[in-house]
Amino acid sequence: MIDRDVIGYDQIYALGPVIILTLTVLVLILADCIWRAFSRHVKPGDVEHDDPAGMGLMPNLVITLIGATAAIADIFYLLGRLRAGGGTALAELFIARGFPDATGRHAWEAGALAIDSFGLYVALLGCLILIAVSLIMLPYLQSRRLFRAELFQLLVLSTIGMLLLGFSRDLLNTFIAIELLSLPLYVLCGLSDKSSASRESSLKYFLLGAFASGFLIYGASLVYGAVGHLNYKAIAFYLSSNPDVSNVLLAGLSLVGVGIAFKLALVPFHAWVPDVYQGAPTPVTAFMASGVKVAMFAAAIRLVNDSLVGLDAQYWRDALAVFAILSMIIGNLFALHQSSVKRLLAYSAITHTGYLAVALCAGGPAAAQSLLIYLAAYCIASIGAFMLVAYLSRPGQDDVYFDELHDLSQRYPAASAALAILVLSMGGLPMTAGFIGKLLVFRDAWAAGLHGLVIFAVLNSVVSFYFYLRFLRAMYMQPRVPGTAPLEAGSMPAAYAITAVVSVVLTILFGVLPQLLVEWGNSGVMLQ
Amino acid sequence: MLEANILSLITFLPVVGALVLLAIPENSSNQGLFRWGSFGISVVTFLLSLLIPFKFLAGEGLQFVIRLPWIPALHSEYFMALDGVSLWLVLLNTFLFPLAILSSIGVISKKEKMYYFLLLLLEGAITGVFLAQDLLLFFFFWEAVLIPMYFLIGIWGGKNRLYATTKFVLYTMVGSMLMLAALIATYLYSGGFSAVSGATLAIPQLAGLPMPEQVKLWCFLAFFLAFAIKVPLFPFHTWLPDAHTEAPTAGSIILAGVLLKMGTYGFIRVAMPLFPEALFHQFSIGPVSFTLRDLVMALSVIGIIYGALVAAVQTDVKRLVAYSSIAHLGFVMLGLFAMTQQAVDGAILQMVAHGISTGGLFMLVGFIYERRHTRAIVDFGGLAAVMPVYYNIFLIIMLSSVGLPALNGFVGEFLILLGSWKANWLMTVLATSGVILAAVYLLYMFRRVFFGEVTHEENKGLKDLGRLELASIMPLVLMAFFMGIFPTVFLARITPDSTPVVERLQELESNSLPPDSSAVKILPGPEGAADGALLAIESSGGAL
Repeated sequence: MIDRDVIGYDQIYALGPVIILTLTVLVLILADCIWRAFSRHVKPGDVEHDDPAGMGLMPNLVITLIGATAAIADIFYLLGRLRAGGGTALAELFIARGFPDATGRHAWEAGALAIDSFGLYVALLGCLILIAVSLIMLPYLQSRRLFRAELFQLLVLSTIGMLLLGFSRDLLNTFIAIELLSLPLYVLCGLSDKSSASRESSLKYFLLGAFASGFLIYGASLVYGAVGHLNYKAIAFYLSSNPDVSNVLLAGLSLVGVGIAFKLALVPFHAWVPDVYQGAPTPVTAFMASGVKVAMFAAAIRLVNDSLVGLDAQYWRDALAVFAILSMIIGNLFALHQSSVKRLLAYSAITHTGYLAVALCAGGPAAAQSLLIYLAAYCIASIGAFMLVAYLSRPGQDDVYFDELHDLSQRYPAASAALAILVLSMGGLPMTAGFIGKLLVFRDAWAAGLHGLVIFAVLNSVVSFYFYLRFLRAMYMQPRVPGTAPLEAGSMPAAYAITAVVSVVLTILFGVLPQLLVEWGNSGVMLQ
Repeated sequence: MLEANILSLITFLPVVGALVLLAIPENSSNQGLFRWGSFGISVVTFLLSLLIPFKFLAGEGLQFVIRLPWIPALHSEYFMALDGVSLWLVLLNTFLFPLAILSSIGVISKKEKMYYFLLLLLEGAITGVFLAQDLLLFFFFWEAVLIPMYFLIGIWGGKNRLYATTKFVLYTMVGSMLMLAALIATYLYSGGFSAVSGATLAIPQLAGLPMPEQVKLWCFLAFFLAFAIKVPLFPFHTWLPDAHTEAPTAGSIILAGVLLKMGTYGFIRVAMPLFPEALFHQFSIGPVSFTLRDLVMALSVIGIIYGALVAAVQTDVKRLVAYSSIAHLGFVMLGLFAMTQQAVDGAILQMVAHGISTGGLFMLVGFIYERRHTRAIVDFGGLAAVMPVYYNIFLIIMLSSVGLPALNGFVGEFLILLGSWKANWLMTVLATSGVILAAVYLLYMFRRVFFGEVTHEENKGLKDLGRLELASIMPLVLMAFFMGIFPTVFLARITPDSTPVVERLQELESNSLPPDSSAVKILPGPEGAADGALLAIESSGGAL
């Protein structure tokens, strides 16, 4: 344990990835100012005349990629330091302590931010997601003629929120990180100002997000009232030393849970997901489906592992199990007959939240490993799938319908094969990365004695196969629907092609040699 | 070198071949490359697999072992090996694939590259199922079979193909997902829930694992469901008629020939050795008390009779053959769950025999379908005069399916009935009626298709079998004779490796009997004598 209350060099360098990304935002803003100052045109729309291909966005992309790569390099450096040091955490910031006993030992001692291996792995995932999403952002914006330079700033800002959420072990920090994650996203959802669906998506996400934040902060204040502290360790210590849980604390924890469940999109707090996912610009949807999920589940498993451990499982596990079951059922049932691909993927995201909540129910370090692995596999698949939707969709539409996918394999064999593999991975077919995530989550849940939940989950994955197979059926087996104009996606831009190849290769590689992914996840959580 | 890696080679050669084909761009000039390339790959695979029986040592248990760490974090290994139980199924698979590919050449006209690519993937996956000795690896191959088959039925199938293929995949999925849950439970028990030390997924090590009886029962039921759907055992069979009827010819050959055997093989390789106690679990409904094993035997017999009766009233030849599969697989299931040496050996032999004869029947139905684009029995009649070669071959394959002595269907069925008499005479009597029914529906169909006047103008000008068609069917005909005349070639290698499973089951059976009836069992006289007689029949059968 680091015994220093002043923030020193040790703590600063541990925050390296966050600092690097913050600097990236500043550089992006500066670059944008310079671009505007030297450009003759003030309104972004005017750029069209000078720059029909949207190459003016290139510097922003390059700066973002450099920033993210530097952050990743720093993460690897920090991981190396952590391994060499042998401890559980590299640094803890804003340390708080419980009252000392007679011998002068503190009852508990913990930082509000813990730079430990779990947090660093979440940060790594976050930076990789940032790279992938900004890569697919460029051709998307070019094809939609949306030359909005500020969105790269917003994307990086949101990623900083992700990183902080992964490190956070304090309710207030969690709240701030969630806000930092969400606020840029509200703007990003409304990115295409010409589309009413996009504006609707933005408003809905904002209103419900604000609502969820309200729950979270209100819950946190109740917890503070009961415990006298917001640190997870403090809550855990309080719970274990006070067997009679006060109702105020329970109410506070439940409200915190509701706030997080809103962001996780657990049923019954999921109603915003389909509209927001469908209306948002597709790369932003990809970011929400991957980045936000990773960050929120990281926050949730930290809350479960660090503070709820002291609480009797009956208070939270059963409720969480009910939410998990509802998420699986509702997600699956609504996904079955969607005609829009993005909406279907939105409902399938709800189903996946259900599976991931099964791991939350199991709790413990093993479940944290499995969550990381599941999330990594899911992110690969969903970024790839949304990227393909962005590629295939008509410029004015920003979505693909199943009618349009019919017989796609004849004209776009590579894109069809990629989409098929990625959705099968979401379904959890062996030989794809998605399977190994499911296997580990089910293993943990079974070991935790949640047999019924596992059986329920496996049966649900059969149901979800029905709608994942709809992709294969449409693309390979069904003839074109008369009267539907064929999709004219043209040849694949390089950025799309890179993302597609990487996601497919990783999906199959991790599917056939799961050890690579499992080892990665295992080292992500050194037992605490 | 070759011998040590032969199992990996025959599993992954088709897969690598498929990937190579995938890399070749498709245009009208190189269709031949895909056809003959995939045929060549499957032939080479078959020739390689032919080395196995020559190097195989009967009674030595698992051989040609390849054991490498695969997912150490889950104690899962790349563990491939083969014994007498899987030997002939592997060979059946590598034998049927070149023929299935050959019979598709010229028949399949759309998306040829993808078709042959998928067939080769399928071959590798099925071989893997029969070779994997690690539970997770087994599960991987098991699931890998699904997707190629899904495409084969869904793209090249008949009118109702979308329905049939979705049904096929979802049915199988229900079983295999529950199997996954049971796999996880077994794995956790093997490591005492610590998942750190001693945990394993190797099937040979998992056999005899101490687990609470209730857990064993549930695990068995989960595996049972997965395998019973695949077999398919009545009442889990409803996917089969649709899938078989809608599949393209090669798909039906593979489905009936080897895919269904994955289910029966799963029983003898996984479910029965791992959870044998579950078979003797007592259930009671009111006054009736029975074991799980009785239930399975009863379902098998229902399947035999039901399959035969439904086959008898079919108007579509392919659907008739599909239902006959349900009946035949009922025999295999009866044999496996009779748990006597003869019955189990017969069942394993019957798996192979059914692959040959039903694979052949589907191929023959495919030939006539290509000519007339109909499979309705009423559209034919008097074909014996028009297509004499076809008629003769059909006759042989049909009779082998009926179970005529000197052809492959006989030995297995005979051994099954012989062996199950001791287990349950009533079931055996009922099952024997299935043999007669098989003759009824097949001969009745045969008469209507081949004898009498040529009733349809279109049928008068039908061409007899071409060279390609003869080349793809003749090996099956020869094999039918070979298996019928020299069954000991097969049995001698099966028996030593099925004995341990059978002995273990019989030991449990005698332990599970209620004390009052064990007094009867002790009397060795007639039973021992019967055993001797049966063995005599078996060995003299080989001398024929």
